[in-house]
Amino acid sequence: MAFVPVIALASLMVGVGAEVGAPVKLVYAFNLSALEGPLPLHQPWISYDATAHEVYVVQRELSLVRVFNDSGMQVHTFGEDGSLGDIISVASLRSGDLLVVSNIAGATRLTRCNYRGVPVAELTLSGDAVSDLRDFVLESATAVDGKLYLLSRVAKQVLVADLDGRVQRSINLASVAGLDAEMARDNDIAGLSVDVHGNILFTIPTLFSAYIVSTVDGDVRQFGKRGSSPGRFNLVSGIVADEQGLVYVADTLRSVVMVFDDQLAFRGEYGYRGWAAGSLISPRHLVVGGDKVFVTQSARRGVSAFRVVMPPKVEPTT
Amino acid sequence: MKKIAVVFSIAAGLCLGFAGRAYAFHSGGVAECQGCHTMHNSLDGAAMGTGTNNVQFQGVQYLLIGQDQSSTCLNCHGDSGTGGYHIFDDNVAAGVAPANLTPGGDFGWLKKNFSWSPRAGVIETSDGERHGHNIVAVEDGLLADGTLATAPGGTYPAASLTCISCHDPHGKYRYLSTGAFATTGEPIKASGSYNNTAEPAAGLAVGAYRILAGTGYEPRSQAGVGAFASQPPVAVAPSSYNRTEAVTETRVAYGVGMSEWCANCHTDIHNNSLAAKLIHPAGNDAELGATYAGLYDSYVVTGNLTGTNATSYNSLVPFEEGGDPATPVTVRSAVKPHAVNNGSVTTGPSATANVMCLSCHRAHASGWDSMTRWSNAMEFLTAEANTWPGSDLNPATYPDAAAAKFHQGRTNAEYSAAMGNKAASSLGYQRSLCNKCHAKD
Repeated sequence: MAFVPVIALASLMVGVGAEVGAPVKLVYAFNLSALEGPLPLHQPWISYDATAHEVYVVQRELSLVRVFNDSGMQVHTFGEDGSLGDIISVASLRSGDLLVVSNIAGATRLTRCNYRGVPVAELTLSGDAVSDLRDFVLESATAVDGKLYLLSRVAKQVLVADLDGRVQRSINLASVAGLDAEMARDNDIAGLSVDVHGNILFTIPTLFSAYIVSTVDGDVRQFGKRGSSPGRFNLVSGIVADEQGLVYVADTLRSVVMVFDDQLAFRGEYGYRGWAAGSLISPRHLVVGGDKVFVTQSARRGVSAFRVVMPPKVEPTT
Repeated sequence: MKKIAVVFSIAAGLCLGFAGRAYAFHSGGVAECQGCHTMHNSLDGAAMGTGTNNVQFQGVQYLLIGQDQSSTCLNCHGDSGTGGYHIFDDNVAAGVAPANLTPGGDFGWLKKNFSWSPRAGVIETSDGERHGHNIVAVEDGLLADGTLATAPGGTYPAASLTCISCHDPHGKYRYLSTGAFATTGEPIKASGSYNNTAEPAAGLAVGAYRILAGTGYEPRSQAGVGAFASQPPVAVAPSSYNRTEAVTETRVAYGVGMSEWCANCHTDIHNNSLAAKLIHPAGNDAELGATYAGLYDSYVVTGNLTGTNATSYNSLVPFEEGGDPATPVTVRSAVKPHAVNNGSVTTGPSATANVMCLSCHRAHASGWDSMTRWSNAMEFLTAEANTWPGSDLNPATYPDAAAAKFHQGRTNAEYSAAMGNKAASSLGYQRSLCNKCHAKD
């Protein structure tokens, strides 16, 4: 099925006469920790299991997956036996099983594991689109509503498959962003995720732009303005959206996480570079789960969790 | 009344209007100040950070947003991708190669430690810190060289080695339209690093190659290390260079001055001729001459000396084309057409070309000790079946390539990446690439 993107000029609308709503606050909650204290991780891969309310952290240099409970305490690890190879990312399925993307002997594998990380079966991609996947380098997977979204920042491509790996469509994100071949080569995607509604979100830092793509009707919303003041894009990276439609964008250079509402109006930013709890050092990857946003950092600052606090509702006066 | 943002849909083709070139942060010179500095360390009435060295209205040294110079640079230049500005894959698993394939090499090799047992009872190692310039970037886990206290051949302190030891963060060095290097005099219009930049019109300049620093350079943050004595080298890169060389090579066209520039820190290693001292020559005056240029041209692979000048170029053994260092713009114009990545220029050296430091070393880091472009710890680079060695190869299929003395602790993917992912299929039993010029094999 051909995917025809239709772009929307969200960036031209938001901030031009639009009133900024009350701030949505991110309140520092904790850093992911083990019994010995906060884990000094450097920009690990992270994902969230909305069913079990657990956070998965992949520490690639150790080929290790750390599992954390909703309070941020490590409760399990797997992968240290090497059976899954070089683990790249982990996704959770509604059934409780896990999908592990890994590299074994130079080949990328997608392995279905049980909740403990024990391999159950290897998932092989199939379908007409698979024959045209020479440049597709699978980095992560996300399961939403019985569909599997297979993500590749390097290839600037998302595959949509069923849970058995039958690829149903391929979405070229370079085309979505309107990049020709040369532009696509020179402008990397930094953040790439899929929200609970199946929308694809990605950022291109060198173009100071973020994009939200509806996989239902092909609508594309592009937003972001270059700058270093609040709400502006300096060097953006991770991007995620929660069930309420709030969009979170990490800016690595400004060391903040920005919050935008479902109309892409700026609703606040949090972190700022520093070593205090709640400050951030070069945030990169984001995941959202429950009422929290999880942020990876450099400088062995690990993963910080922030609780999302919505503004109080104002009852209409009579 | 709250205004609701209206979302219009338009044809996808119009979105091309958003897409200019990749944003060139430096543009050949000084970038936007706030990309690297925080002016007052204050925003919205609070400090941007609240650590002991980072309080409101005090901030960090040099007003940098990072803990140190390199950490600031790696905010943007870290990570991996196809964009050329990525030079440090900071999260690489065991057995996996750093992803960036720039000619300068990926600093991620600094974090790769290898060990192997070439024969019973013997363990050999290749520590990460031996693989490149150990820039200090605390936020990214890059520490000063633990073995060498100063630059080999010089006095530059290892503890002060950062990105700005070589690159002028403010990008003041430039090619003037009048044909000389300077730090002022004409405004920098664009980067001078790439083959797609026009020569500067009258009254305009382009930046030095890779915003490298030149004569008189001594950063304020590193006062006392000694000012540079030489200008930046003349060189031009293809506009796309963070790429595999599996099909076509990435040819950086080097002109003059590379070795002289390296000698700003590695002073005593510099040598223009064997007559001066008995160490390998490298420099503007270290011309290959007809003999060595001829050997370079005729050398194809080990045991094959049937090559010709038209096709002899090998990106693993680059050379400087030469020219008058006093006229850098002229040299730059002459070599620029040779900076390609599509295999369209494969000519080898003339007799007046010269060997340089980068003929054998990478500038940032490599997969090998002493940041060389190939392993000098083993006589063979490839073994049987035209295959790069690898610790993960099946010994039954590759009895040599899977042997520890050949793979030296590297997986096949790591070994291949360390060779730019160039195809090994036509190399046969390739010995050291020293033989590209010396043909002793």
